[in-house]
Amino acid sequence: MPFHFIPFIFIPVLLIFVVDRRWELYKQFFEESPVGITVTEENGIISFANKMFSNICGYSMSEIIGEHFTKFVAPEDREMMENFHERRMRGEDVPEEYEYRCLRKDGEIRHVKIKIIKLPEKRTLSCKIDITMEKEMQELFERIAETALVAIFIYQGGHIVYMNKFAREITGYTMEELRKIPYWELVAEEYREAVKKRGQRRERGNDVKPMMYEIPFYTKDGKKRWALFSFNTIIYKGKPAGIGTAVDITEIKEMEREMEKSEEKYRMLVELSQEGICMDDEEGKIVFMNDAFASCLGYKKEEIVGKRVEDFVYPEDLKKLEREEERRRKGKKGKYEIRFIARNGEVKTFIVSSTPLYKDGKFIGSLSVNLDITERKKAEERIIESESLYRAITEYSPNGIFIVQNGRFVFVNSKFLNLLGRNGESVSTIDYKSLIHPDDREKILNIFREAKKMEEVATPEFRFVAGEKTRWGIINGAIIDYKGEDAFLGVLTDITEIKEIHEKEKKFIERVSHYFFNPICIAKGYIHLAKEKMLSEEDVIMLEKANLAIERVENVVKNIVREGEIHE
Amino acid sequence: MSDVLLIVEDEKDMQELMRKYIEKAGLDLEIYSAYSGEEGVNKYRELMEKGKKPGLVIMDLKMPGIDGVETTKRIMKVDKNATIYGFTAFFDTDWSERLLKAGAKKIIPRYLGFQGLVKELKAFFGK
Repeated sequence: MPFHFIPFIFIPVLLIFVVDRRWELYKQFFEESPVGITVTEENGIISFANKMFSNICGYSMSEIIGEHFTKFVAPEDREMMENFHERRMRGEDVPEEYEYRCLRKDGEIRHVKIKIIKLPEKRTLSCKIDITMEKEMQELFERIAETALVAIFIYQGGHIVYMNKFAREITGYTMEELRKIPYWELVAEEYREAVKKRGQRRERGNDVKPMMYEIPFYTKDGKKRWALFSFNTIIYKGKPAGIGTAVDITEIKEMEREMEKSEEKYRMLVELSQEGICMDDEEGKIVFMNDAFASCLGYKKEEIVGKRVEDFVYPEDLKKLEREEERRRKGKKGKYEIRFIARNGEVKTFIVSSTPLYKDGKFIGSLSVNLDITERKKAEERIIESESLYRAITEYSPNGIFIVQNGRFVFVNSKFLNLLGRNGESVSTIDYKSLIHPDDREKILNIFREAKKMEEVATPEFRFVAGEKTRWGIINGAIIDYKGEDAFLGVLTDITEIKEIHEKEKKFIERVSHYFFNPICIAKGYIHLAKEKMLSEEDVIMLEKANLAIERVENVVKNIVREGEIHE
Repeated sequence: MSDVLLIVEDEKDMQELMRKYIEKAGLDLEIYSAYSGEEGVNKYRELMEKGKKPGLVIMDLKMPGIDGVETTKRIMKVDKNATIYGFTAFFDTDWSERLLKAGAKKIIPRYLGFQGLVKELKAFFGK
């Protein structure tokens, strides 16, 4: 009964009056007492009652005096009180102070605290205080406390003297167990001394600050939990005491720890990130930069933090930076390309993903992730250059260049179309096999079929269909990877004219052979026969010279036929 | 082997010189001449029919009418065992290959002259 205190301060005074036998003298004083007072005779009849008792029981004085005291007791308590009275009259020890329920005239039950003093001649003096309101308050408190979802407790004399259901459930202790444990031993060791000192000061009735704090405590089974405690000072059973409430914040604490871990993870993520991460304030001053970004620019973080972003931006890109910063101030995110100048003077290109930062609705700067694409840009430039080069080579090539994939042309240069007599036409729907002369088709297709990836393929001379005409060509090529699939890259060389020249050459040689070797052979034959005739020595010498001259011609012709060159 | 020699050659001088050199070399051969491809085929068939199948045919390449390659093919059709030597100025051309493909056994380059031819004949006829 925590809020129950009874100011029986008048009792000693009453006793003095009674002992002094100056009853009549001080009767007026009793009448005005704030305590209900009655005098009961040995037979239980009330012989005196004051105004306050009349107020408590709701009867008038005339309805009280001469009545048995049980008339004003609720039926449930009559037997107990009659028993106490009889035993008291017999001189036995019975409680002098207790509570009972008073039955008012209007039928209402009031809670009354009674103190009984024995008077001479077996009379008793009863002092009664209406404690109904305190009882109701106490009941209300207990109901609230017992259903509350926070722990409520009262400590006094170094121990917990009250603990609500929620507190008992959280700690796992019963009230009996708690009464034996100093309350400061319930908290974590490092907090015990402080809790003890603050508690003792509260028990002395002092206000102690802070009134709220978070401390860990131990449950009966030894588990450590965290609670947010709130303390105040009260009077409990007439003495100062500390009252406290506690909210279990263990899960919040765990979440905080998880958050801290998570923040640590993010911090590590930022620091270990290969992308440059930068944070600048509302004025564009760098307030954070990770190692990756700083080292990419050839600086240490400390050398960059505090400087302005524009101090590192390539001059031609400053206007772009200004525009982007303005967009951030307007709360817009952005992704853009910008160049920075590294410490060594190298111009580096970054893709920047920037987002504005707000605190309490106010713009405080921006956070950006900066991806170094310098090498990629260079590679792109190289690709563009090489693409231009290849395009030029392809377009100005004297040979037809084509790529066939899945039986269809997927690329042809203009020369190829020109060779096929299809200038300006599309060949994407043409079956490439149909362009090979039927007599040569199988031979050439077999070569393509047997071709292996990245091995050079060279066809023999074959005929291809060029509009209405048939021309001669050769193909050199290879199986390549084109847009993720195998394809045949071929270079068609038109050898029609070369073949015609060769044919002419051949015919020329044949004619040379025919028209020179036959007469030479005949001439030599006759000269040889003539030499065997009976000729003069001079004639023989002349024939030999003629033969020698013919042989020289023969050698020249032989060299023409064999080497295509005119010499002896 | 018969000692019959058939010379298919359109130039009369060549025919005459071949004969003279063969005679001069003392080769005892029965020599027949044909001055075109067609005549060569007919002569070969005729000689075969007379029981004088030529032991060797000397074949020119370029001739009016059918050339030496075609003539060789036709003679080979008449007698698949015929022995034909090319004696030609086209020794370094496709013609030589075509002649061999048609059935000729050897090509005697014309620049070896008649002495070269006679040497080959001696070797062939074993004389």
